Amino acid sequence: MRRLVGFLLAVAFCLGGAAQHVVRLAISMEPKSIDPNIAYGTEFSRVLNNLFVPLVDYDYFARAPVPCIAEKWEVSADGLQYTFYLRKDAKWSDGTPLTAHDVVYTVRRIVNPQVGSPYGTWFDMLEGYGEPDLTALGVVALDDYTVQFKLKYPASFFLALLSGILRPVPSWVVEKYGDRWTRPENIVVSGPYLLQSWEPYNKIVLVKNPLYFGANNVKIDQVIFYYVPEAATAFSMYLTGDLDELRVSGEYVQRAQADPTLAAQLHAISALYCQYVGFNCSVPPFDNPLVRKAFAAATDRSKVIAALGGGADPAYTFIPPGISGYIPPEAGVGIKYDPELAKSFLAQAGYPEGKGFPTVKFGYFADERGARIAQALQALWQDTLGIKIELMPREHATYFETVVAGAYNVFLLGWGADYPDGYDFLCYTFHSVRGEQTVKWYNPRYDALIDEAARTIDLGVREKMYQEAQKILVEEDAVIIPLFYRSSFILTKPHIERPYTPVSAWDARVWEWSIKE
Amino acid sequence: MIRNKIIRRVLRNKRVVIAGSVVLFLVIIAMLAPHIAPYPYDKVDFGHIYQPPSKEYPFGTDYLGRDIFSRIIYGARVSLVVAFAGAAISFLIGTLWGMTAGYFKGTVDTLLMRIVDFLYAFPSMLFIILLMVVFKGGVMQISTTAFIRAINAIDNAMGGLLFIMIGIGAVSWVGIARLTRGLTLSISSEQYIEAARAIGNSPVRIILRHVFPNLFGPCVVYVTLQIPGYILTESFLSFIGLGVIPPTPSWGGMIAEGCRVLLVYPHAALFPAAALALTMIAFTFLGDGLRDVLDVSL
Amino acid sequence: MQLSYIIRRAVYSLFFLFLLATVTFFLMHAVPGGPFSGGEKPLPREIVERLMRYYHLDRPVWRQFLEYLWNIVRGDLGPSYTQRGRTVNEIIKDHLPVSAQLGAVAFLVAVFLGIPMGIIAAVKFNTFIDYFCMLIAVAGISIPAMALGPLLIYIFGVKLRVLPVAQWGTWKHMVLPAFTLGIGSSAMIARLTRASMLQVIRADFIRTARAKGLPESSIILRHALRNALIPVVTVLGPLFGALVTGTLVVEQIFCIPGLGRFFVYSITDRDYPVIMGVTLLYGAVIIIMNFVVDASYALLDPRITYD
Repeated sequence: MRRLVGFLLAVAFCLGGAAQHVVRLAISMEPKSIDPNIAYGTEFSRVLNNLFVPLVDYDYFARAPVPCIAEKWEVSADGLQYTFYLRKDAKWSDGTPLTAHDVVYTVRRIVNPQVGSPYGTWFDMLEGYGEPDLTALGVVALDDYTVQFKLKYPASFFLALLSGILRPVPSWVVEKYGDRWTRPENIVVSGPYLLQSWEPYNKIVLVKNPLYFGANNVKIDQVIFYYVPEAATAFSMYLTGDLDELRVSGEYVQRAQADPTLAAQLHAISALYCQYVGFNCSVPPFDNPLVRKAFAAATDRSKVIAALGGGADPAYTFIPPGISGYIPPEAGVGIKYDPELAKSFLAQAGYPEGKGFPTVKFGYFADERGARIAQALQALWQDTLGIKIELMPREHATYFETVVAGAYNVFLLGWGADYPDGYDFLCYTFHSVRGEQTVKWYNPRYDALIDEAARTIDLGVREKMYQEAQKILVEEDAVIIPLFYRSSFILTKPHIERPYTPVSAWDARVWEWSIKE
Repeated sequence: MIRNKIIRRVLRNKRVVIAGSVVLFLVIIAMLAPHIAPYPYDKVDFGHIYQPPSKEYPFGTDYLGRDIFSRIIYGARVSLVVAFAGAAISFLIGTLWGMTAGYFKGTVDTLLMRIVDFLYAFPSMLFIILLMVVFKGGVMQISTTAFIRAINAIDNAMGGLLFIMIGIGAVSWVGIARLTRGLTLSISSEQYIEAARAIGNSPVRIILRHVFPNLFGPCVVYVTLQIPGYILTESFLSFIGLGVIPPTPSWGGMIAEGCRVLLVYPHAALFPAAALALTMIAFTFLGDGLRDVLDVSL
Repeated sequence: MQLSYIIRRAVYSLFFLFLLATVTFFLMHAVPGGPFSGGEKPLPREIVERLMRYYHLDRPVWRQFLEYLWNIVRGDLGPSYTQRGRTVNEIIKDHLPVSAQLGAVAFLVAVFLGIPMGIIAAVKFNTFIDYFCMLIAVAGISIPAMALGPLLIYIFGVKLRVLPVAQWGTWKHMVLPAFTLGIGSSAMIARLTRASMLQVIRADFIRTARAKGLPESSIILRHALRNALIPVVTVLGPLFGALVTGTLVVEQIFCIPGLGRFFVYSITDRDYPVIMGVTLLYGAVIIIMNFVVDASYALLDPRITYD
């Protein structure tokens, strides 16, 4: 097998040698793992998505799943059975055909508690989930190229879920090498690129995979990911041409916008991430929705975004644009900035002009972004409401623990999409049973809406339910104050031709790129 | 009489006078901060974010539109308080430790010094980061012990300074301990110490009246020379996010923030870096000068 | 230097490392928080529990410590908790050479800039040259690397384009970071050399040499310098150790894949095996450097003997 890979690399090299198109990108965090079943985080998907293909892909323009490994699929009328017909020409990089058995193996692996995949619990809608015998799980290979999933209830977001987390892995490699199967000398991939080398905290080099089923359309021969943690350094590298593409944020966006050459290379797309302030609703006076609404109305999002240097869109509801359930600001849901209204809410709650209000404990995770947001909010709230805020930055290893322990009155958190459906945003966060228990708030109507939506197949009806749930979350009960949806600004050198997915900046879909001659 | 002579010698040394004046100037600025600074250090001005130096804001503004000049003045407070308090804590622990070891000699000395030797080679950065991680983790806040919660509350009230001072003190006393032990050893072999012992004075009395005053010179020199290191440690802690609690200004924190936008808004890092450099230079020269005068043997 | 001395030193050193390992291990585990429960969006609870069990983190600390010691004896420093699939041995193998190279070059910069400057300042004591040199030296110590680094990148990398901006590879990549790192140390060495030289120059044996009519340069370089270097060498040891084991700030700014980041971020990440591995490495380096320093004392001053 290793010889075959070597041969492939040599072929790839020769093909590359003919007309070497290289693209150099930057990542700001070193991937902890590129195992698609274990990697949990957004930076790593830039690399991962070029190495492994998913069962189904997602088209953010059409907001619908599209074929990838699966050519077509059928959903039974009751929504409990999904049958996928796989393409016959998908191969692994060692020449083995990619079959339905690989899909089944991967699903079982994700659910297997011994593996410790962070997505394991999300497959709880499959029949047989929770049973110690993994072969009882509701996923079978009907033949070499047909996979069937059997669900306990008609989970409407199933396809979206699969597009986010189901990328098959080669069982024989995983079994043979264990934790080390993703190392360059062992790894076997299914995607448009091969992993040629990985120097940790330095660079990752990918090279075109001639066995990829879409290899004819892949124009870029080599992709290099440089590890660059400092924004200033990355920016310098882009200026000198050492990088071909760079995601910039904050002040660097302004710097790029101010320069006409750079401005022409700048493109904004929204990221599937919402930053919000949560309330600990179990401790007075924040158990009073009027108090929470007062804080929400005192939040001037434009100023918070200005403190960050720009590069974000204000959010009044929770689900970001591009995900089902998104409510555009024109719909008027959510609490807008209105200082007079804020003061009146506070007075109604029994604290006119903030008199008698206890010092507010504001917890946040101490990084540069958090510090800026927290200080901006502190200034805004203190000015408008006449109260005192005590900032409590915490280092990351213990922050979440302390939030769940109820150490603060308000805290800063964020949520990024794991897969393109509103369920991901609304359920794993604030649902009283399946959520994170951060806000200590329980509303049976909210739970009911989420549970019901999980079973509703009609996308239109489901979206309405997500929207109603958000209304409860941010307007009626004001449990959180959504702050902004992060935007990504991307600088790309003019000689590169590439599509920009309207959302999800995390995907560097390099196999769709080409070089302008 | 001898004291006057020493003071006169000190004042005659050019270095001491110049550097000393600068340090004095900084101390005065720090103490008078609320009166001199044109704006409160946490006054946010969203309309003037990252402004370059202007008449309104002599050193420009930061990412929240706060006046950098005022923040540098208050930052002097933070840097000096942390440095002096850290120095005081390490001085206290270190001299007590060293004097005890040097005076009593024998097994006491061996025991105490073995501990010092071990700690000397122990990576202090690791230790201080561990300490700060414990202090800043927030777990102290939800602790069940009232004492721990109280300390945490004090630290929050001080903008995070208490723990930094404790951290620095806990890590730096070792050098002073070594120094004082060596000096104590040589001093206690002097005749007049023997005499005092013969008279029957208690060890404590001897240590305080005879040993300590003789250590004072070298110790002051040593501590003065360590102060730039303490200030830098605090900057480093801020650089990695374990420093003061915002919005308390700290030169180190301001430099770290400023460096992130160095290519876009250089003034944000330039001024605090200059302030830090100036302060460190002043303390270093002061220490050099003092050493030339007070302690030829060092 | 006799064999018995060396053996005794070795035994003390091993004991020291053992003590270091013990203190670090228990201190580490006393700090709240764990390797898997951090961040803004941590792993689900059941997953965390499983991972803890897999890495034996649910066993009592003393038991984990004994397991760790047993593994060390067999040369296994353990896996990394945050970088799945990598062991601490590999991490050190991959990153230490980089830090060592950078540190060595920075060390040379420091020594070859610092010692001459110190000598000149001492010889021209209390003149303008003296003050000037010392001012540069102190400025070098005082400007933090986090400000100097980006500045140099901007000037030499972006504006003048003579040197690469960041990363690691050719000798050109070493220039800016080594300089940034070395400047602070060179300043310290300069000051120390100067102070030491000043003392030695006034000593009796120098006056004798002058009385004998020896040329001034020979006096300075051969007689004075040798003795003056003793306190300097004392500092060089730990300094070299510190430089070699990596400095986080410089490595971060210049994107150098060295060991420095592991010193700091492994603590905040609670990656216990990495913390232990890196700390023990640091301890070992310190011991070796102290030994080298003591050995060089014997070379510099024949009066010093070890037995």
